Amino acid sequence: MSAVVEVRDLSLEFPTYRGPVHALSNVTLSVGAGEIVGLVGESGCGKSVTSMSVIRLLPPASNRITEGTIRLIGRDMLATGERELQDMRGKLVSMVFQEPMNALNPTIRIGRQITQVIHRHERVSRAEAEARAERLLAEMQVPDAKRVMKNYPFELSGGMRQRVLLAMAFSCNPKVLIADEPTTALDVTVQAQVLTLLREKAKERGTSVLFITHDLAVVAQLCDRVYVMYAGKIVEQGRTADVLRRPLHPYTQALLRSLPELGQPKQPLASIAGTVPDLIHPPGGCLFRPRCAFAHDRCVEVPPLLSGGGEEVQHAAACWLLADGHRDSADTGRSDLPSNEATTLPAKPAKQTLLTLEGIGMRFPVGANWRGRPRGYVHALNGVELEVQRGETLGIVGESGCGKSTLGQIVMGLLRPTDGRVLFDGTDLGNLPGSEMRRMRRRFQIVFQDPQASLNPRMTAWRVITEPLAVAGGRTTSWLKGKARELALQVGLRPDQLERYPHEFSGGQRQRIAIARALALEPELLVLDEPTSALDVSVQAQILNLLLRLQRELDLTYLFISHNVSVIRHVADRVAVMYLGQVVELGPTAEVLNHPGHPYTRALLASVPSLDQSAELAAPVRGVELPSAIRLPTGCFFRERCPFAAAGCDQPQPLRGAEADRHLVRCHRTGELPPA
Amino acid sequence: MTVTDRPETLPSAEADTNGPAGATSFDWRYVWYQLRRSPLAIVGLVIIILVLATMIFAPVLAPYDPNAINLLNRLAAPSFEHWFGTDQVGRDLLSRVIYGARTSVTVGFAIVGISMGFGVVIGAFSGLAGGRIDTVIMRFMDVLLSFPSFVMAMALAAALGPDLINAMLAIAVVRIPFYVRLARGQALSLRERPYVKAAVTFGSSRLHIVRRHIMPNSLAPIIVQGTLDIGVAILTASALSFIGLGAQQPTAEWGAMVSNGRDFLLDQWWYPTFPGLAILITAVGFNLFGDGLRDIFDPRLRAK
Repeated sequence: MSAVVEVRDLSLEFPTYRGPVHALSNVTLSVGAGEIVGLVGESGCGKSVTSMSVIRLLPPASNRITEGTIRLIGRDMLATGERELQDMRGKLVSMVFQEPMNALNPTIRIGRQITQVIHRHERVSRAEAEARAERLLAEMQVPDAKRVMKNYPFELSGGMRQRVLLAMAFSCNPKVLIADEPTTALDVTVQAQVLTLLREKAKERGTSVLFITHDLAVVAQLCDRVYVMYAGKIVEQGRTADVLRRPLHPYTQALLRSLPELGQPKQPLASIAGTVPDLIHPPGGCLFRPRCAFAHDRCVEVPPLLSGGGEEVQHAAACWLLADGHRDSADTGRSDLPSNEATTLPAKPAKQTLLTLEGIGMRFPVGANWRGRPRGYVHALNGVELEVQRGETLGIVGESGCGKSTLGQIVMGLLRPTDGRVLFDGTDLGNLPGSEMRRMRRRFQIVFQDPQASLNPRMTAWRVITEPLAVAGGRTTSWLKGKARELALQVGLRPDQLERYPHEFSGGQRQRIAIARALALEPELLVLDEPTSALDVSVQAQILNLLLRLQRELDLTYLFISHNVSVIRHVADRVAVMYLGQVVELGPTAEVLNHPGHPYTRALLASVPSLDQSAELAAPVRGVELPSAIRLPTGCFFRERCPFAAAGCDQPQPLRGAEADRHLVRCHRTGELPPA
Repeated sequence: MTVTDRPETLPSAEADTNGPAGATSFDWRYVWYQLRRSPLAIVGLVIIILVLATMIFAPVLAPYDPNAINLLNRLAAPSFEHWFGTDQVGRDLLSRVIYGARTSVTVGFAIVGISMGFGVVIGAFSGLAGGRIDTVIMRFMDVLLSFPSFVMAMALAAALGPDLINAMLAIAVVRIPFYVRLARGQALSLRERPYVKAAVTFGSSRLHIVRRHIMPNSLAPIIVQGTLDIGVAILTASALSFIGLGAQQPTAEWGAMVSNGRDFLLDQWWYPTFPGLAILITAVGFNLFGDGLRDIFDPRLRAK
């Protein structure tokens, strides 16, 4: 098999005011004809830089390639001039990016954007180009391609835009497609569809794909071979099955172990201590050494790629453990789950309701007519009924736009619901006077998704942590500092770093600061709004472990909002599945996720990519678009997309279950559906 | 096999340490790094430092008393004794230009300080309060903005009486709306930040949010605007003095000196020229530096 993409010994640095950042060091990889190759790693590991330098997309002034060669379809890319590069991009090699909104020009109609690419590279008539664009869109399963051709990007959903980008990428039948996290911004049900499409079309046309992602499960579903990157280096490579099933490098092993999919619910996950090294002053030798549990004398030398032995061709890792004499120790790494925090779940005390949501509805006005009245409403929440018991974790899972974050904000009193009541410990929050409300607020706190945005960049860590206490007033600085130290220890931060500013901390540490701040007032309920979604998996594992430990120690109640089914499965006692502002299914986590009753829950679960390659990705959702929340569908909200829709679905469905109070499903056909 | 000691920076297995030292907020090394790449900003900075030094060391630098009259040596051309020449009553122009820096630049700073102070507070509250309060404040600011600012300052200065302090106040009032708008825009975007929402959830007062969250985070663009404004303020104050509404005799002030010297432009060019140049160079200095600062704080505007 001849390699279409061949990167050899590529080293690249970015000059900065603090000194050069060694973004890539001696990266060697190849993609064969028709092959789908994954490049996987955590943020900052250099995977995007690698892919961008393959087609020379990095601005030349911003970086310096210190050594190495890049060959694309037999051409030396480092010696190719800009004009020639432009001729190649789009024709021989094309790219699909993460954020489909930013990759499309918002002021040009879809059809023209695709035909522009065709016209740039081929001499065809306008009619011909348009016909081809329409054919491409239809091929990418865009419904009503003729209409979409005339649409502007903002009129399309994220999944639709990504299909348009795929159509553009395939428009000139490129030899190579570089896809940089193309599904990361999409919901799982849409991701499943786009991934299936990408694989089918690439195989059909014999296009080689270099697929960049942080998600090992996506790699398992899509890629023939995979390269694992860490700190600008390839640390492991091999066939996907070999790498995922028998990882050789301690980093790959640790990364896999930190996935909540593979952990026991409620038990601590294995996490990787420390953070990615500073690439301005990288540690000598193996870059993973400072965090590696098996580091030994030899690791101060740079390890070469060593084969794992056996019949697994090409499976190799850059680790000295694979050198003779050390192989045994590499194997011991796999049973290295932490046992020190083994938990015995305390016997649950008698049920006591802490939070009650009664018929919560939330509408947001849209636009305004000439009299200043809204033209319509977005129905974000439509009659949500939930009860959270003291001491439990209620997981709320759903895709974007289902209203889960709005719900969190309503619980926090940041938004006032248009209908319904929020009762905290029996008190209606809706009609509390200001001073009472202020006192009540101390009892529930929130942790947001993006730890960078939720910390004031101009406050030192200890000020951030103790801000809730400072607001209450009457405390001296030294008392506050002492309190900050206490809280820092509780969340696993070093107290001597509290004089630093948020930007001096890593993402995981910032989330610890945010958690410490939420704990400062000793609340009973924590609303966790996607607390790990902005974090890498190894850091996510640390934060999940921390949250589980804090819950045990402080007897906290969690309302855990997430789009990530695996995370919810790991932390939640009960789970509520939301769709279009309604709870469609509610029950004990294991029961709901193992025996989903609602067709939507089934579709959601089937779309989650699995590490197990034999599990096929399925997307049993009819129609591709989520219905508009401005004009709600009648009857069952899921009716139009439901594969099991039948007579009777045009009536509103109540939440009900066989066993009262346990597993509730908003579907009247639950009993009749084939087993999931 | 011996396991090497892990670096001592690693504490408990759970905690991750040593986050990347990014340059997301205020990092003087980053500012200096950017400044070095923009030579014009450096020129501006040097001018500002020179002007400030002139102000501080005026008594040392000035060869003569700026108000000492020497009728025997009126309107002397530049020479070794009087580098910039003398005016119509024989005062040394170099000394007057040097002392004039004290008046003119102080006035510039004062104008910007006053308008910035009022503007930022009004704007931040207006943006945070929203609703009707916001509408009323902003429409009033629109009214202020709709007058040509120099004419407005002239009218105010004339009403208050010709005096440097009055001129200063008049210009400051006219410039308030610019800062109100800027600060309001910042407040509008900042109040949606999660850290402001978090502050609401633990019961912070509006005052606390403005003081702790809105103000510190909206300062960067406001400081840039202020730096750019100092040049304008000096020019406007000089212009008011030039038409007789600002500094009065015998105060050494650049605008007033240009005004007095204008009658002698044809025969004694040096009289209006040197104070005029002082105004020009100072204004240019602050503008160059302000432009540079804007590029540093907002990399998107940086020229390609």
